[in-house]
Amino acid sequence: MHKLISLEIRRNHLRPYHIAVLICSFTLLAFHYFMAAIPLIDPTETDIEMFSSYHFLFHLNHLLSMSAFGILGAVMGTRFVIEEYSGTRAILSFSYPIRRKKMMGAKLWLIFCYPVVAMLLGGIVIDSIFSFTERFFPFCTDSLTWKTAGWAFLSLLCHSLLAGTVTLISTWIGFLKQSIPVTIVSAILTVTILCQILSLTFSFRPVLFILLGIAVLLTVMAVKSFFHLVENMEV
Amino acid sequence: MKEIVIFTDRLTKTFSRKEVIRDCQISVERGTIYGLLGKNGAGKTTIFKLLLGFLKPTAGTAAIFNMDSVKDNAKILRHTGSLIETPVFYEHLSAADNLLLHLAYMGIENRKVESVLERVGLPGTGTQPVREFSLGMRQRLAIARAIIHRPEVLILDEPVNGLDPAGIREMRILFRQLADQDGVTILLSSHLLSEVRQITDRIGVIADGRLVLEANTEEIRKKHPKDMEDYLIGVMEGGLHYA
Repeated sequence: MHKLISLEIRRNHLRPYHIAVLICSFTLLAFHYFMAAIPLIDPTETDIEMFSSYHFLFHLNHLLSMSAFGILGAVMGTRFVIEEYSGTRAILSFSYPIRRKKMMGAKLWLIFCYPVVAMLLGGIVIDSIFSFTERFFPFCTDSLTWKTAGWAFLSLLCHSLLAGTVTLISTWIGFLKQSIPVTIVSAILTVTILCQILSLTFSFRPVLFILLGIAVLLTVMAVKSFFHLVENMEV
Repeated sequence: MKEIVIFTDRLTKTFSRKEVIRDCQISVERGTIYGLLGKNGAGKTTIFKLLLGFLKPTAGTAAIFNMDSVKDNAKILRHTGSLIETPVFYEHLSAADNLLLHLAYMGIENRKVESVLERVGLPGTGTQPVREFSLGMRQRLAIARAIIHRPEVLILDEPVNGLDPAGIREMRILFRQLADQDGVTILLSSHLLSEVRQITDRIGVIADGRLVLEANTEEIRKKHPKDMEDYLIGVMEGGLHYA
């Protein structure tokens, strides 16, 4: 599997995705500060107090990161899966003496892991930078405790995994239709629905775990379907 | 009698209730070149795809080295080189990188690609990105990819497409060398009847999805010394009645 993944990387360069990750991370960091600065615009407004809490800011950032990295993963899915199995290119993929399931498994593992790891690392850096600068230029009214930091990490981990599931589910939908636009639109719709539901997490945290469980279940079904489709695919 | 390497038995393939291949029986001996002829849409490419496991038979079997094309697909592909339809490459990679990548997927390391590029008439092009290649160069590179892992069987669909007359001649010599010196079994299709006549040991003609003629090239040449091409075109057009 490791060898197949390295061959996937060799034939489809990751450099553009690394650049996209950097751009996303910088934008998200800027957005983090922008959100934190909102209460400063009009200090008399009381409805926006929540913008001054670590919990809210971290969660909002994780939601946005999940959307960005989920869509980025779907874009990777179009390159690594949809394009590879459409038209005459599929003949090339099928002419290697490797079981189709195994080859597909390597692709899916790569497009799942990439957004998850990128979001996790990017999120840790963003949250750390923000927390560090808070010491000198405080925006938040509360203080960062170990409990808040622990929850922020758990939330980041769950949202990263959700970004991975968005990638696989939208790529699966795109694969069924053999269409790149369908993949991207599916990713956008999926993250929109997820963000709507996950906004409940602000007041009721278990929603995050329930949704992650459902998403993992759907992803397992999508992966099984991928294997079935590729095994029976005719080109 | 030589060992039969490529074999189909009552091979049938249906697409949307239409039988594209019907009860096709082909056998190709080791170290020989078999030319499959037929009009456009006769079913040549479909037979190749069935042999390589890209398509699954509706009925019958397709086998290489007595291994079923579907069940033992990975084992077959390890010993087979192929060129089906328009060759596809990773455009951003160089010619050499495309070949090295192919070798890596084949599980072969430490093989120099330059000698193969020379063999197909592409010396010194290893570092050039494939996107800069002409149609003829792509075809040569596709042949290089098909032979670089030293397969025992070659399945080539229109291998001289897009090549100039000199290139066609070079490939003819190459295929003959592979069959005669290395014992490679070659199944190919071509629209150039003169090429098929010159290069093959055996010819099969397919019309309306059926194999209507299968004979040694020499036998056909003896029977039709002056009008071999006309005869083959007639069989392709008229099918069973003509044969």
